[in-house]
Amino acid sequence: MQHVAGQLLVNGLILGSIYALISLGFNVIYRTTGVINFAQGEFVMLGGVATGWAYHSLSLSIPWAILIGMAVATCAGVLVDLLAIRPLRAASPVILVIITIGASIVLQAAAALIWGTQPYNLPVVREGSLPFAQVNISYQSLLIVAVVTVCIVLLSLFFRCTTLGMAMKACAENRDAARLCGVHTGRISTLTFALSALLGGIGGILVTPLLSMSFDNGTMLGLKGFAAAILGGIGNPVGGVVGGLLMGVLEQYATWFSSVYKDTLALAVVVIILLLRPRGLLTK
Amino acid sequence: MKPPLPPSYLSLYRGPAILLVLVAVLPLCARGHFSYLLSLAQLCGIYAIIVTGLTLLLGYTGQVSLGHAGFYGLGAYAAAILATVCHLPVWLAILLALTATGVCMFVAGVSLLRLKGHYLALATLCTGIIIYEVITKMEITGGAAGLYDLPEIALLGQGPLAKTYLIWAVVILVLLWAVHLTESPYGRALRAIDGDEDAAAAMGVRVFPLKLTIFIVSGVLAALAGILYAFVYSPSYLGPEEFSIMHSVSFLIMVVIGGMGSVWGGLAGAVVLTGLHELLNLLGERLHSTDMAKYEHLVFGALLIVILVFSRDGMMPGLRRSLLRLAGKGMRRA
Repeated sequence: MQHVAGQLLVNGLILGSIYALISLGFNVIYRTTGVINFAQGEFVMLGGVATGWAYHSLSLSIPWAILIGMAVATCAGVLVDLLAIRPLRAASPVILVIITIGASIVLQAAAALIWGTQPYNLPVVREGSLPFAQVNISYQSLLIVAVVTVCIVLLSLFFRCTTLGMAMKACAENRDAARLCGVHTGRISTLTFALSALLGGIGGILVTPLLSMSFDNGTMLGLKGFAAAILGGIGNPVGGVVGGLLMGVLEQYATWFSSVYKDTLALAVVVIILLLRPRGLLTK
Repeated sequence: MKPPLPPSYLSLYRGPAILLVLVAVLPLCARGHFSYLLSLAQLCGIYAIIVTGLTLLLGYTGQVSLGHAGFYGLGAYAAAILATVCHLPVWLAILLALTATGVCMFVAGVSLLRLKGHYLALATLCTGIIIYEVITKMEITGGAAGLYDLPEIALLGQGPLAKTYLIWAVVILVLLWAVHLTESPYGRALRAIDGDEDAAAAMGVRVFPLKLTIFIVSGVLAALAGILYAFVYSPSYLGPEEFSIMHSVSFLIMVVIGGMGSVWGGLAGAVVLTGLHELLNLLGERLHSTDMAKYEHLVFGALLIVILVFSRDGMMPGLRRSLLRLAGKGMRRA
């Protein structure tokens, strides 16, 4: 029984690290522009689907395919900002949320048109798994955790040590003041969307070998990432990561109690956590 | 700024009266695809009821809900189960279903409305998904297969025309009530809550009870729409797909597209969006294209963005502005 619990915990943490990456995308955009971007899940889908397409249909090698997947996701992020967010800069938050939902509908339909509705798969980095204290950890999941960790570290270094990162943080603090200091807030907003879409794309590429990816998988992944970001306290990247890991573990343990009502159970726990911590887990 | 004049009853009832005439006359003008257009009108009416409640909640009070498709389903399934499985008379089933939804909304509201903004959005989203999941997986609801052969309400007689009149009669009653509410002191109190809860409380508005009341009312309106869907619109079959999370999102889109500030905007949003969906659907069938479903979504999403980009606070305020601008030009020329 113990190793079942352990296995579920490990599986949950691995799934959770993907949610953590998606929630980071939410937080990066929210902090800098104040927009909750519901198209985040579609970036994840685009990363996975475009990589799969480049690998299978263009017969490119994995590194090139991954590059194409990341490029497609990033371009989608830039387009969403330029075509949908920028013209509406001053609109109310609800309108901006709805417009990102519109963008997500468009991205999903465009992906279905360009790459078809079939699921895409990618080979895992290495077959087999590592036995570790009665628990099996596949090499792909090790890769996922490693890449997500590297992304988090690089991201925090980027925000701390580079001028661009600090300009983004300045926008997060106060847009007008940042503008007065010579920060080009429009350009920063586009960069933010590109960065966040890139994060989403990487998440999609990582998860595709395990789950496979088709045009309609993005919405659910995006919602899980949103839940993770909110659960941790929106605008708090560390909270988002914790929220993501928690979501993953919750989902896995819910299957233990009831395979039919697993989503219901996990979501009910999310609501209960929200009621206990109305402003997120890590917000004081 | 001038204080707003108290609305005269004439201006208050002008809108519903015009709507009443339109609803009475328009179906009689429709020729050709008569029953098809009528069923579309029925669906518009059902959505208009939900959207009116949601407009009061989001547009006036500033509380977001991503769970209304769930409450819509709660009403439909509660009434359907009470009528078919428990063999209660239809009217009793409806009454009990509305009461049950009200009680559920009270419990949900008391706990969830403490949350604000995005946190409330996530909590209501979860609630909506939970209701949908339970509906799809329980035995008593027929699961994914749904329920068949529900009793039909034929208050105004049989046939599609009578059904349409029945649904739109309810819509007009709901709108009348909503217009009345928004012009009353309660409506102004709701707007105050939207503006700033603390300031509203300082002005003597009882914030939480009002928020809770409007939350319950909007949920009961959604349940009422669900009952109309089950017993009037499609009594032969009730399936869970109508109550999925995507519908919660599209109700929200209707509220925003119409312009959040008025009940009429919500109505316009419901009618335009339902019509647009159907139009794109129809185009796809006409073109016999298998790819059309994807184009349909592409066009739908793109139109959504275009409408919002060009009139940033929704269709109705945007329309009013451009009409005023046109009128202004005409005045200058004359």
